[in-house]
Amino acid sequence: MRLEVLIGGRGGQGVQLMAKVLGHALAIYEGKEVVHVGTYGAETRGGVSIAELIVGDCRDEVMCFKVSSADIAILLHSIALGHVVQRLKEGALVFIDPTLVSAYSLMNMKAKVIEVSSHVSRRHGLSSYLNIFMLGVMAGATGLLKLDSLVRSVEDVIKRNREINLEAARRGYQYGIKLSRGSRG
Amino acid sequence: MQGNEACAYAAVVAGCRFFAGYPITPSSEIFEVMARELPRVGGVCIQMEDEIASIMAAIGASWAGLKSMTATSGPGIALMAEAVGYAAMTETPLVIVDVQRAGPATGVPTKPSQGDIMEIRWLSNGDYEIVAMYPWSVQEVVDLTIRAFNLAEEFRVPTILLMDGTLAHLHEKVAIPSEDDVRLVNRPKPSSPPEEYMPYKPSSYLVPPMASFGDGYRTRCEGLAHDYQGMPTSSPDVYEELVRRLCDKIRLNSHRIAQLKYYFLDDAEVAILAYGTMARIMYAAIRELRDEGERIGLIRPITIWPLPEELSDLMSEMKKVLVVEMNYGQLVREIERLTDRKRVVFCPWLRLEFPCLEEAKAMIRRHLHAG
Amino acid sequence: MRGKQHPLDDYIRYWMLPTIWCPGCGNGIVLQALARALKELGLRKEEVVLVCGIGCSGRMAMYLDVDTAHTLHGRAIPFAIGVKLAKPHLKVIVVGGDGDLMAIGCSHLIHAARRNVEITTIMINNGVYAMTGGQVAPTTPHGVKTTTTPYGNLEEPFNAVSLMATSGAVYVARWTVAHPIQLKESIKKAMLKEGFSFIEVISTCPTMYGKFIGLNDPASMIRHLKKISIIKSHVDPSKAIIDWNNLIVCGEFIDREREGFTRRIRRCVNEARGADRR
Repeated sequence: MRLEVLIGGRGGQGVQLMAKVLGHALAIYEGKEVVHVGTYGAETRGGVSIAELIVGDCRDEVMCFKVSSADIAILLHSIALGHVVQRLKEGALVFIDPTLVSAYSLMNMKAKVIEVSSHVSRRHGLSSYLNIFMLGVMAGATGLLKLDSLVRSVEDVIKRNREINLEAARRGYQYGIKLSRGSRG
Repeated sequence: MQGNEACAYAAVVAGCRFFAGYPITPSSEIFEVMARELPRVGGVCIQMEDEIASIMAAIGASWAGLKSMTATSGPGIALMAEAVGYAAMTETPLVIVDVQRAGPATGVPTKPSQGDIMEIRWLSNGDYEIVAMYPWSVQEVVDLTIRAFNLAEEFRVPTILLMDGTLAHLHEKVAIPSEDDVRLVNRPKPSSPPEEYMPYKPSSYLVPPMASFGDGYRTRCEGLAHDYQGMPTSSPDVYEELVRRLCDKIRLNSHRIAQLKYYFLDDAEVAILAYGTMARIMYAAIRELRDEGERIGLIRPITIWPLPEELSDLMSEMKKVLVVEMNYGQLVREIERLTDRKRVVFCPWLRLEFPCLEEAKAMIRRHLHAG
Repeated sequence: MRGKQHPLDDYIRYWMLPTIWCPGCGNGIVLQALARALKELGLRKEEVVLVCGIGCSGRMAMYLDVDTAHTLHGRAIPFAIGVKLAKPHLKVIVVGGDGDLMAIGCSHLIHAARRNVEITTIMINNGVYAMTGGQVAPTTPHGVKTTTTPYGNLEEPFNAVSLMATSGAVYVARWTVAHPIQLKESIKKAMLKEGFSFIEVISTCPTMYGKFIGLNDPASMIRHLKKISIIKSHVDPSKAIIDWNNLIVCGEFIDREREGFTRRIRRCVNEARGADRR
């Protein structure tokens, strides 16, 4: 099955790192074919940063590396809003931090907005690791990948502050599972 | 791993031990990985004062016996133009990576393009041939980087690996082979003693054996038109033989150099001709359009220069050939020379990003059913 | 066939003689000084590489019987850097003209001195673009009429030794072709330095430059150089005057120690490999 994932934010928030961790987890530990392409402005900090991931079961599914109708999106900053909303599939899952992105701006979209309050990450002292926390939330809520795959990927990809990133991934994943149960119930 | 990193790691596997460069978006990661990796294998990586110095240092290192590389983007390639002619004239094994960005001039540094196709072919004054290849996946970046070194060595020719800003930053799973797992080619060495050695006397396949500086052959690297000894000359006979050989060593060996792949051509009436990153978007679009009943296929030259000879035959069986390039008409002119011009339809794409699937399908549909 | 006749035959491709240089050209004196220096240093021919640019002096690559490269205009130095970094045990010499090294290739010269790459550069300064027919050079004195400054040169010339001293060369000297012995000794000294060494040789071009300054024949040019040059070693290089009318200060201006670039590279490689082993 082919799946399109879009991550948007502001340069410096760790958008491309999230995509790298996610892509690595899926490609190496979940046996998927993955292609990830990052686009950002001339500046590496402060500008719009977008990561596009295509996930598939076979090579042919990932030949086109462009996201045109995303199944899943993570939006870390309103600066990337325009780039993300125009490429959402009907019924797409959009994970946002409501302190940085207003849910109101997504109201007219036929997407399912999942608000991940940054209070949650802040409560655990993980506010600087929001990116990996959000990735964990997405993984836990969607079941796209196992926690173990995510953890091993974080270990492979992230060299600095690995322990606290691992904690962010685990806490996020658990929170994601809780969210998905909540929505079902 | 992204295309740029894969290229650098593959170069080390291919035996590259010298890199000279000058930073330029979107190629800089190649340089950065080389700066880290080369010292670990006893190689040298240096940042020079400009692109001209970079390529000249790489040529010098190649004459001193090391497999050498530089990497840049369109504006940097433009600065290297004279030196590429020098490398061709002196028959220097050399790999140049060109990560294409939107031009002309400074253009849009962070955005991809396929606008250097003609630039790299016609860099220098005079007649000569180069080799250029353009992969469509990160794994193919690895494979073709290794092949670029092998061809550069075997034919003593500057060899260009083309990428674009997107492929350079595309992350995919790759397997980097170990040195034991790949076939590596080294430049032909002289078998004659130094007294009898003539640095530009060709072997049976038109490539002269190459002595390195310090080997005791007292060899000559000469950019003026030269005789077998490497001595400057303006003799028309010597000049004609030299220039013919510089071209013919590639032209007459093109069956060993040029590669292409084609897909879904069996029942196709229309072929899309695309290369590099654009070709893989076209591949995805063609798959879906075929499900809708369109009888189309894909022709993908992997070697851009020299162009594979089979292209003519493949195209002659098609009603139409849509040439899709991320420029305003470069390789299409060469394609038109290889087939009936009326068959060729040109589809330029100048949107600073490669088309998404829907855009690609729309573009193909528009041209399929027009006229 | 010519037998061995000259003590320098071993270092010269004598079968290529006569040279293309005009009668009275100073290039032959420099070639001879260079060949004698190599011989007296006892260097084997296979450990020496000569890299030249484009111009009259560039043809030296045809005549010295070592590994040679005749590169592009202005690009001898980066080529030579590539050679030196690839095979640090080779002795690499660059010979270029003032147009080659001070104009089109000037940035390479400055950066090579800054990096302190172990290369000996000999700049033959004849004050003019000779091969192309006598155009103004960055070393042509103010006021001189050339084919491209028919009303006289409006610009001031470079002082190459001062530039090289500032850029970091470990050895900087200036001689004229009227000082062949000093030149030879200077080349020997330069080649033994660890780092970038630079020798400027004021040369005679009777064909082009001589006629612009009223010295038409080779002998009067050499006599003139002899008359106006003084040897004043260790003078501040910025005060080493070069004035074709009155005074050319010759001598060794810089002779200092600084770690050579290839030594640093070797250390970097050892550290990188050591880190891998740990």
